[in-house]
Amino acid sequence: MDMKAGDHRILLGNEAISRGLVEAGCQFMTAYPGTPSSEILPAVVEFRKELGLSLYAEWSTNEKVALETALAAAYSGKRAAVAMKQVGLNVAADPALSSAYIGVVGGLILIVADDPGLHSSQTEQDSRLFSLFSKIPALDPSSPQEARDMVALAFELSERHQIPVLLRPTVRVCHSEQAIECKPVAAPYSCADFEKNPRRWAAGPRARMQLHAQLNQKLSAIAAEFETFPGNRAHFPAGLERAQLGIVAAGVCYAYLNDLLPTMGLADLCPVLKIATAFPLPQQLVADFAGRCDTLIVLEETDAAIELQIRLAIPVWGRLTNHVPSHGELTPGVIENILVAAAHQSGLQATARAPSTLAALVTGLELPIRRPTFCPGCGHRAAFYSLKRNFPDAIFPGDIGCYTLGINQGAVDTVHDMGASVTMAAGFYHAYAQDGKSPPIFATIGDGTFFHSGAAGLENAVYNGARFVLLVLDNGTTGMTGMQPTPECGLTADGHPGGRIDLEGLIKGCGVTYLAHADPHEQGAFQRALLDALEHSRAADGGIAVIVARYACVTQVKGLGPGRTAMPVEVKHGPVPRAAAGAALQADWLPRHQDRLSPCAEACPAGNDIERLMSLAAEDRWEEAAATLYAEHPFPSTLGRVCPHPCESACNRSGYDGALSINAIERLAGDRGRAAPAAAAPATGKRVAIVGGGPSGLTCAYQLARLGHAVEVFEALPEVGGMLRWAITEYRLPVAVLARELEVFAALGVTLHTGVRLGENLAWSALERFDAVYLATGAWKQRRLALPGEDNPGVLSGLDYLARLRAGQAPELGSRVAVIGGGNTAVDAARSARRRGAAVDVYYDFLLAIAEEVEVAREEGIVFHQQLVPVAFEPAAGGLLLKLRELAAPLTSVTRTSEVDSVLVCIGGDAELAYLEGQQPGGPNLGDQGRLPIDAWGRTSSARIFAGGDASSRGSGTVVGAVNAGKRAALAIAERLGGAAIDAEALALARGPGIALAAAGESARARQAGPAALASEIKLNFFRKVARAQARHRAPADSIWNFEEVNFGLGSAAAAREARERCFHCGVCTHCDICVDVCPTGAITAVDGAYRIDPAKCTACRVCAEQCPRSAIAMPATGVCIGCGYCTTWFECPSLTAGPDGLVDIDRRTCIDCGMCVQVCAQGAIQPLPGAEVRA
Amino acid sequence: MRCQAIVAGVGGQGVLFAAKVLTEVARRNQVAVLGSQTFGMAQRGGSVMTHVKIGDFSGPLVCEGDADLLLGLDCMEAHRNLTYLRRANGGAGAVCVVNVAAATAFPDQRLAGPLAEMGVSIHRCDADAVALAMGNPLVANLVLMGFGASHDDFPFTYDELCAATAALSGERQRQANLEALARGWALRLPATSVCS
Repeated sequence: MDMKAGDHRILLGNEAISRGLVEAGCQFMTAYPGTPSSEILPAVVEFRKELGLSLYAEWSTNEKVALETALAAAYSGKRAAVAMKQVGLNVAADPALSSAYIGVVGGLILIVADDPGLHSSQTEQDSRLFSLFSKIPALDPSSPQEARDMVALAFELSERHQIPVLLRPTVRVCHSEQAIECKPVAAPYSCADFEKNPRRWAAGPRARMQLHAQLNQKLSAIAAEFETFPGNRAHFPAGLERAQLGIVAAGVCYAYLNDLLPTMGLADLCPVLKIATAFPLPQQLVADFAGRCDTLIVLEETDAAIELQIRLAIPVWGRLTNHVPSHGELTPGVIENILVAAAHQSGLQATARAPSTLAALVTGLELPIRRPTFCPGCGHRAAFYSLKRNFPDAIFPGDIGCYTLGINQGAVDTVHDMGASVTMAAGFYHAYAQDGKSPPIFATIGDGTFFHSGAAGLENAVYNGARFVLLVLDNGTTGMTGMQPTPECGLTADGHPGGRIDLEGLIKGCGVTYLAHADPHEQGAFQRALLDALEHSRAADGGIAVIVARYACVTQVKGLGPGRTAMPVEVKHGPVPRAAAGAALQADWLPRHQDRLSPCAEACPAGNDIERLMSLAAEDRWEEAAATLYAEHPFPSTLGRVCPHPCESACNRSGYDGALSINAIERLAGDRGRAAPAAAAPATGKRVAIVGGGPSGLTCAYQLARLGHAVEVFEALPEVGGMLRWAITEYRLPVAVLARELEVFAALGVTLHTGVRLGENLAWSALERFDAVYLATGAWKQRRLALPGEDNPGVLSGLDYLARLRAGQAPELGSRVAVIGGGNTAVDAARSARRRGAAVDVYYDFLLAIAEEVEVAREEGIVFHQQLVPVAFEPAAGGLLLKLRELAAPLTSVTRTSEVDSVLVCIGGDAELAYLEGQQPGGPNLGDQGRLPIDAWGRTSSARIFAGGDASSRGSGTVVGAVNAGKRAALAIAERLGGAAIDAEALALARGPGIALAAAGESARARQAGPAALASEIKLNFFRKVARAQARHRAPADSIWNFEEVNFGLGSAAAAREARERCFHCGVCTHCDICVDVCPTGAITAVDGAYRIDPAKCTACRVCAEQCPRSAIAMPATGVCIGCGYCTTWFECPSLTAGPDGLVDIDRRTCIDCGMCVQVCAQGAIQPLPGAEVRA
Repeated sequence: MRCQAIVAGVGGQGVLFAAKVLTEVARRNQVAVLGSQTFGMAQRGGSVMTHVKIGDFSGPLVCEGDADLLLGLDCMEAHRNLTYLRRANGGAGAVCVVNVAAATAFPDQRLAGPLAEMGVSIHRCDADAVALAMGNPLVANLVLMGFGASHDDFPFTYDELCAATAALSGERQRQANLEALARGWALRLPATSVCS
């Protein structure tokens, strides 16, 4: 558009003011954006460019700053202006009041735009009342044209009286358009010339008193001038001598009157006095007008500034007399009603429009209120959505600007004034902290608002020790008011070179030490960041945590902005699983709190209820924790030391921050708990013989005894314990620990015979008096390598060596020992030899030992040789020559030799089953593998004979496997002796090896348990990373000199903390109430330790199931939109539109393909569009 | 020329631009004009409504019951602002031009009778579909105005709208904007009055 001086242009009221400013020679302008004033400064910059003027313009960082900056220009003799919205004047109040006293040299216009009707403001304050209070003259334009004309008059007035002048347009003047004649610039350029005068510019109290007196004199003079001010005029209808009702009107009310009075038939009856100078009021003008009227009515916005100043004997109607509403905008309709009533009261007849028949009908449509909301694709919507979804009960102090809109997501609880989010967060913190409480507090503030007044509050909060999370939502602009630049971008209002302020630097400068960044587009990571920040705000050494969330204003950058990838989405529609259209979702599609198995329990061969163990350990309830373990087997202290812990390999935490220390906690539970579980059942009179007192036999004996059977154990060696007593070493499993575990057998009345070997000093016939026999004789027969020289005296069985060591009869091995084998026995043998002073090398094909034990062995100086196996043993001077080959090399080749004193062969044992030969006919058959063939429950081919452990075909070579076998056999034996039939399905732990006796006997838990919860089903955002608790170990340098226990385990505090802070409780409801908190309709309530779903309230949105941190709510995802309304209500993107049937679709007109809504629909109905072109 | 118009829609639909076109028509005809726009909060997806008063007026707002024209860019917002329309009072009736999807009812059946009795002439078209087909959903406002101008009772001529739109458009948008007006004009259908 051609914009030269002299033409008529359609200008907004704000632009008209700008035009007035440049035409009147304004050389200096500052402003802070705020509706309805925001367009003034940009238009000034435009006119400046167009006219080639020298005019300084700046967006100041706040209104106080803006006014003070402009004042200095006015002190220097330049015409200056400052613009802001009405509440901005509150911020600038301090300099404003002093400016009235001190005054100006060059003209200064303080443009303050009021917002009657609160189109985009917090208060309906009347800035003209501020002028009464501050003694600054006020002008009140009634149209864009008049506003433009007033600017020049205001400058002249300001300079004539050396006083700032308030120009107060209302929103309907600011945002009205009118054709304005543009004129050339009238005033000459003036150079800065600050004349020093400390008694004025730096006036102290005494001088201020004189200035006050001068100010009053100025106001008297101005009042006199205003009697003839061009904008003040009285209009008396021709021929009317005296009026029953005179109207005093100001601002846009006067404009409406001109249209209304003729249509109402009042034009010839009511005189009108237009007042443009709200303060000081031209009293004589008003008195002269009133002198011809019986009554006056005053129509002005927003409050009663003129009405308050009128001092007359006749009735004056207005807001003070309730003739005019005391709040809200005076629209033409409102003014019409006021005039009808006033006319009637003063004896006049006014014609009013017939009431519309439509109004009531339109109201009857109950059209939904379309509340303002974040733009489609705005990332900051997702920030608020995250806050509410993850912290539904937090306190959310909010702030001014676009981010006020977070109220729609339920994540803005307070909006007060610029910067109040920060200060109020601090206040909330201190108020609750006083009561010893610390609710989560998340304050939100935009970048522009933070620069305006957030930093001051943050300084204060840091200084006074407040704790909360502050989110600075940085969209890179001042969004709500129309994209004004912020100090962060370094651009200035008129393009003059500016500095760039680093937001992070400012935050840190306020004393904040925790500053993180998070992208709200990535919900998972964003939630994680929120949680970490909250943790910091509550940590003992924590404090205020600030998160900067950057997401460029999508309206400013017209799309997703650089670095972001478009993800077009679609809403899937299909058959909705409802019984009938409009009915609730079918019952099996509704949420159910249903515990599932934890993966640790699924993996445990011993059948330990590990999740429950963790719950009890977390609360330091060690007796109950031990009881949980004793329900399954008698060896918690033992397994807690020697188990290869497949539970930890299965732990869902292992891929996150390291598996839970389950093994160490089991150990502590065993060590802390009393080893005396009650014998569960009354005596049955049935007798069972257990042959072999190792872990399998003893576990079987333990469970049978608890079921009331009379059990006798026959052990060949001098003490029971099997491998626990005779193979595993003292420094891993002290005899004292084992002895304590074995105390339970005496308590249960189990008879332990030792030194009794079947087939030698125990005849099969002696077992006939038993109703059942369990053979658990282990695998003690040393396997042979079948290599030359294997029978040399220096080549020993490792198992035999360990047993003799335990018996205190260990042979001397010399100083150089080689160990052959990669299992746990090999490592035990090696470490034992090391403790006897030898240098030890371990040669193995595959390493099968527990990794932690190998690690400790290495630290103890043992050297491991991978895939190096023996070929032959030859006598050598003072020892043996060990010949070795690479595993892959030919069998007879020799890759390497080593001179050693002794060799310990640890390649596993076989079952010694010679005793089977003496059995009665009908006994179990020996299989062809050299082990007793059994089924999953230890049954042999003989109905009376059962077997398990390493002697059996299902032997696993581990203690925990032996325990598993003992439990299974005990159930099978009990079944044979008339007990409960085995319900394999009920006992099973999903697909795992273990069986759960407690579950079958004591609760229905295992029956309810579905498949184990996968790591991918755990909501990691609810769990902060915590390092795995590490057990203390005896230092290797000390441990190799003795057989003292090396691993000290965890202390009870550390173990409880490990359980409390680290167990996910995968698949098991912990009553954390997060489902109650996240349910958008309040359909879930906690009742008597359980949750109740109200089917009338449940919309089947599935948010509870999705947000359950541990996946303990069963609810299938339909994959189609079910019309639950969750996304449209809580995410509320305008591009997600619900049809009449409630089903949601994408509004392609407005969608910018941000793809964020995919993360919102828990039913999985919103999906990336397959095959859609994805553009950067 | 004397016309009081309401342009109603939702933030982002180009309500302000549509109103600016009407204002520019007046300016080019050298007729006094006043407009009142909505800024700030309401622009963020909320209801947006603009008043245009062409002719010898003083106040910037249209009184309810006075409007000669309602340009509804959105069906719900059009419903909300029907109360601004005036009665025919024996002369020509007010005109309501609405952007509404083919399957959606306008006006609501509860209002059809009273609107007919008031002599309001209603023209409806699916401007969104046309704009979307053009690959430019933001020009639905101009499609609707072009469509409105194809009716004899519309207060502005097609040529006036084209001239004003061209003057207000930036280089890059001008062609697309004029095409939108033309597409709207081409939708011309017989005027459907609720009286019939």
